[in-house]
Amino acid sequence: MLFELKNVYHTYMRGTPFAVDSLRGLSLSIPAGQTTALVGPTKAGKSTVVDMLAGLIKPAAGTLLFEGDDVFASSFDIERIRSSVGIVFQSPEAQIFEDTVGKDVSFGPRRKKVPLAESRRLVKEALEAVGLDYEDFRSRYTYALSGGQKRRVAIAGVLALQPKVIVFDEPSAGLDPRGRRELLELITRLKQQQNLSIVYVSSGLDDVIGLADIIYILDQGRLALQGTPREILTHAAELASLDIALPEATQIAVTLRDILPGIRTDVLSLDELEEEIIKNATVGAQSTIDKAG
Amino acid sequence: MIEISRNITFGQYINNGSALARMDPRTKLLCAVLLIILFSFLSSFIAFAICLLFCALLQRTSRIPTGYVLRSFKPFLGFLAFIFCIEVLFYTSATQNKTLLWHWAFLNISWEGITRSAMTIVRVLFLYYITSMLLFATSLVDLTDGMEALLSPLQKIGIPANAFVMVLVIAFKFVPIFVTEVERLMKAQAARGVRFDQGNFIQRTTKLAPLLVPLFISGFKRAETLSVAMEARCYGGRPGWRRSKRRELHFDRFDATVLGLTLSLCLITVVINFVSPI
Repeated sequence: MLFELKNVYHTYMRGTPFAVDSLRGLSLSIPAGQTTALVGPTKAGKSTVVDMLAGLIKPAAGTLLFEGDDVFASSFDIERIRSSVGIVFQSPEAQIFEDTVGKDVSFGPRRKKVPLAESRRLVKEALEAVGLDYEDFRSRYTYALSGGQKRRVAIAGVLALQPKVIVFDEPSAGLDPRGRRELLELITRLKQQQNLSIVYVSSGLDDVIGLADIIYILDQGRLALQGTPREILTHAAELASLDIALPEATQIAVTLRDILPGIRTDVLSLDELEEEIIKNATVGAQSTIDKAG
Repeated sequence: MIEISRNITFGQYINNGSALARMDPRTKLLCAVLLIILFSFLSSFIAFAICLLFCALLQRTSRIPTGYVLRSFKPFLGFLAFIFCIEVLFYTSATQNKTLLWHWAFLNISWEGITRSAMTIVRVLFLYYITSMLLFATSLVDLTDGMEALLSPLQKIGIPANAFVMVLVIAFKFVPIFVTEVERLMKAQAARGVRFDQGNFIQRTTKLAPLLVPLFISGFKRAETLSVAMEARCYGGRPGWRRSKRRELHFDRFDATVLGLTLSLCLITVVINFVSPI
């Protein structure tokens, strides 16, 4: 296991009248080499988990294990987690702080005192991995980039650190459909080419259904459901009550249940939905004929 | 680790529905101003002891945890201690009438110096308490309404008091926004290898410097968005326009009692201040 959270509690603004519980006894494990999705409505504690995985905040109670070692034990070198976990924060364009693309992407390598030639190579690879031309982009000003480009630069900045894991915190929020599709393709490609473990945090299932190997549904700082995308989708009613947006195909399937009660909701794509409809419609028609007969 | 907003408690409104929170903001402001003047004027420890009783009463009415309020004193206690030492060591009285306890070169410790400096510290603590109490118990909207109401006479003689109040409010509102912004930038840098919790004071400070540029850029962007939003909602004085309020302010019996209590406190302590030697 890459990460293991065991009965983790966290409270923001602890000890003040503004205290907010964000995690209440959350336990989950994130396997290496796979894509894990954390899905939940607002205030589910997703961003807290992200900060914890980055080693930025300490749980008030419970343990966080990274590759089997307790992260907040005094013997643990926090540098280890920081160098193997890359984080793409919510609205990633906001995590760019240098003035030019080259400087921003090379920030991590420079911090690690990587030799110049090596750092240049890392920046070049990182920019190309996210589909931006190195020569063209490295001297561009970061504030003059478009929203989608900023996101790519932010991801490149993380890639340049050569992490083993990348955590994406709602990366597709505020992107148009095309930008979203491109981003998801980029993540899939990164996973395959760079052999990365991915943690994808999202408020809806739409992005993760085709991407994730395992999905955790969080609600109010606790684990509500867990399973493969298909297993999760069988709980359509529970998901809806948690205000989690269902993927298009599932939504249609849920609506169709009124006329086709036997239809499965765990359809991963529109094609699968089509098959389901045909199957159920013929069954339905057959039973009508039987009754009439 | 990186959770600065937890340590900045000054001026955050606590909506607990206490009598103090529900009071007319004009009364609260008026009382606060009176008390600020009073605390700056008083120079007798006995008078301050009476003020302490008043503050205890205030604390009870506010229903805010005492520990929480006291903790907000913590960040600047060291600074106060430093000021105290400097003031004691360099104390010079106009009359040169001093009881010397210790003397070395140009440094000396005298009994008068200690009491005088202690008085300064007490005064600062009281002033801090009363301002933070005002902000703890008053929402920003209330504060603005109160200030506007109290400053409205100035508006009549052509001083744009309302605009000044708005500037003040915006400045206040931007503080938490800036804090979150700094937090976000720090997280972004920490995730890429910067350790803010390592190194000595100077090293830590230099690590913060690169945050300034993006902070300013985002600050200006926000200011621009805000001004467009205000423009879009027709903010601003045009001849013949008058802003009305959805919520009228009410001065009721409780307000009268509090104002009366504050005034009598002022009277009593001022008298004591003249009579009592310390």
